[in-house]
Amino acid sequence: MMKTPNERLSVNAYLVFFLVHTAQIGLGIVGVQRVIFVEARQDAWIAVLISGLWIHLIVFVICQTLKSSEHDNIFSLHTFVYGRVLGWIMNAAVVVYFLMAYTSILLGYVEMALTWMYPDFPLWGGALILVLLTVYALYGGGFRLVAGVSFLTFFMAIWIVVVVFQPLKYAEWIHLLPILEATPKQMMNGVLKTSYTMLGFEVLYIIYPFVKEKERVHRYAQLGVLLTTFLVAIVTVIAIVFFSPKQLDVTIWASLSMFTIVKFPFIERFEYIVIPLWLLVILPNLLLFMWAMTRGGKALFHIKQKYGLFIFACLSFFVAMMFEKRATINEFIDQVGWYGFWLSFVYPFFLYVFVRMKTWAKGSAK
Amino acid sequence: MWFSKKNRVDEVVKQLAHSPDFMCRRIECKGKAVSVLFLSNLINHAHLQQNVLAFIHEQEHISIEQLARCLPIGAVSICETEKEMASYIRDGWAGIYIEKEKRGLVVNIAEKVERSLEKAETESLVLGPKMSFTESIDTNIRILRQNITDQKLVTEKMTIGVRNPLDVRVVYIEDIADQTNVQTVKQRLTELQIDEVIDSSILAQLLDDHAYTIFPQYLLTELPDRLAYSLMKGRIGIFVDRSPTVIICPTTFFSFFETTEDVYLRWTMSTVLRAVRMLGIFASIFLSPLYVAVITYHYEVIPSALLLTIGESRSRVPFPPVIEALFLEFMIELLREAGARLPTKVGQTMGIVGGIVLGQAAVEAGFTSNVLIIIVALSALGSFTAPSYEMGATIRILRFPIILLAALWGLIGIFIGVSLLLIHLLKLTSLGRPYLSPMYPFRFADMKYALIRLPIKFYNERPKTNRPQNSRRFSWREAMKRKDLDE
Repeated sequence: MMKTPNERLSVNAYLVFFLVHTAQIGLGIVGVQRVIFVEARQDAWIAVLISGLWIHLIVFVICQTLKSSEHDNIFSLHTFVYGRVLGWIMNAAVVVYFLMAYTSILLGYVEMALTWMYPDFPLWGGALILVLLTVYALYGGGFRLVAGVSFLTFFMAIWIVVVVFQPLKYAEWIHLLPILEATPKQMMNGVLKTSYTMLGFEVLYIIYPFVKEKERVHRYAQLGVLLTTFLVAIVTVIAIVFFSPKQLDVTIWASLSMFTIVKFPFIERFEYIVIPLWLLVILPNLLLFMWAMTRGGKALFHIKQKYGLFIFACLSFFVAMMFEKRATINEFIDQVGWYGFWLSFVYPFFLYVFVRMKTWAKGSAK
Repeated sequence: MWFSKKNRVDEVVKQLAHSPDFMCRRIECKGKAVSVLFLSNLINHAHLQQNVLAFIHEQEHISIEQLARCLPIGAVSICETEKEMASYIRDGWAGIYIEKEKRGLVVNIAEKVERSLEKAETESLVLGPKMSFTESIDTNIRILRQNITDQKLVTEKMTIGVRNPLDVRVVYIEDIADQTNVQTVKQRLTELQIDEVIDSSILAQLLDDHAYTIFPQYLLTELPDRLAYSLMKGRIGIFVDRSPTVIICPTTFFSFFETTEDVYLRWTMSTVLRAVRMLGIFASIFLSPLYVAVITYHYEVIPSALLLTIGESRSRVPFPPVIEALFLEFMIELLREAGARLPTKVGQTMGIVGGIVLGQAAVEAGFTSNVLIIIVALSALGSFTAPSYEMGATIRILRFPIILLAALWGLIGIFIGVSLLLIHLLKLTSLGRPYLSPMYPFRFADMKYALIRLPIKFYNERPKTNRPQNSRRFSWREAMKRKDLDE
């Protein structure tokens, strides 16, 4: 069992709101509209809401799991439930998930920035800069720094929401009709495709021991998820009414494309501001996932987080290097979404049941 | 016996032999030889004659004990060893030995050189007290005691420096300042092993939490009212002898942007002024990098009408924007540095000559564009609005790496700079306390101390950032009581 961190390292419960929210909001929201729209057509926003509801339920289950036993993070929970060997494998799976998530954000952001702004810049250069940024932050930083970054970047980026409403001038609300045309299968596919955008709340499994007031974690986590669902739903609705269906089918970064029509007296091409600013949005993602990996490394190999940081940074950089083209990166992101779907949307229920069973078995054995 | 006495005086003489101003006056008094030893440059001669020499002459019966009791001088002390005596004499005291007595007596007749109290130079205020600290620690403590008559005011004495000992005083209000902070300061001061410290700014560097950072971690002030304000809010001050600036700790990033004038002005005005200052500083760091990034990579961002103006003004400039910006920024830095080194009157002329003539000439020669001149001038102005000289300098330097990042990767480069800055600031601490407080860790109640000002009645509690033991200033309920119309 990993040691519970001391008071000096832990943070106030309200920060869970920012941590969960910024962990969820990342690259997905920039281009989520097309992905769901292809599946659920004009009911895409309903798919988002369903997926949001589902996540609220999962967050509840996660908090219940963590509360119900003395093991307050996923790594020691796994060892507790599955025993040493199988638990180790499950922990490794979690670490691999975070590695994949980290790399997908790395690739996705660099790819987006290169496509829109710097066609000539090499992919590896961009990835390297981001990896170095993560290493600089976490080396000597730790969890309090991660929480601070997610808190401050939230306020530095949230104002973009105001600008999102500007495309509504050109809205064709008729695009939303008819409502509920999608078949259950289409809707399910839509929900599935939302997963990549909404992933991130599973960091709860790891940040939980670092929060001072444990009883308030659940409330703030739910609020964070609520805000995320709300934002994703809004950008989806706006994209549906702004673009014509045929247009949306081929618009990869719908949110960015909507920003092209935003104008200020001194700024045109607003997306050129948003893409650099998006670095601040993905920064907490990068830091949180890398930090989660180092925690995992500690649980798996008993190496110091300091050294684990370098190992995982190199590893994710090399993984990122294997991708060259947009198509492969897209496929990879889909894979991450799929993996994340099973790990974060489905698995928590099973884990909860296993933990209860194991606790019960142990209790009755005594 | 006589021999040994003679040796004692000689021992002291030997220790101070290389000082030509060292005097050893021997007086014959009631058959006893009395030696008075002093460094003539350091003492008050009138004092010596009236209160020491004349007094000794008048005595009927003379001994060290009796002198120590009766000498009309405030500070006297009895010395056992010659070494001790010599060190007192070096401080401007006079030593007295009487024939056939083992111990010596030292009396304080030192006269220290110091300048008179003047107006503060580096931190200038429009409203409020103008007096500033001087180089003498005694005067400074006196000024402080005049400012704070609180009986809980503590001024603890410490000595730093092995070769050139320096008097240091840690001052705080006993029942307000956080005891952990006080302990940290004292511990760091006692652990300091160094031959000498010249000035408080050096001591501040020695006490730093982080050496490899561009940001100052301690506030240096020469304003007594600022120190008093900080102490009453729970901070700690460190006086250093021979230095006119006092160290205030722990500090946060935002405390470098506040002046006591913010407190003196009405809250509306100071809120606006603070906002102006913050905006100015923000512009000072980011305006020229933005210019470089946008002109080099993303001219699409600029609306076409504005782009035309910029394009016209840049049409004759043969350099890429980075070179242009670095050249102008360097020129401004040069002007500022030259102005700071020159005497005040010449410096002013230089500023005008440099600003107008050089700028105009640079544009006409086609070295830079008009737009950039405006931007660079603005950012220079912005950096001067920082009330703390140290922070102003930091901001000026900070601009250069961000310009380079902007030249390398455009807007993304700037945001990489922003991220690095953010992470760096989050990592910093001052005296082990977070540097970005009250922003992170977020303390809503302290925002009124850091970013905005509210009417005085809202300041019923001391800032939590300083962790005061006692945070209550006055009764909130009394201050908020609403009166009826004709009450």
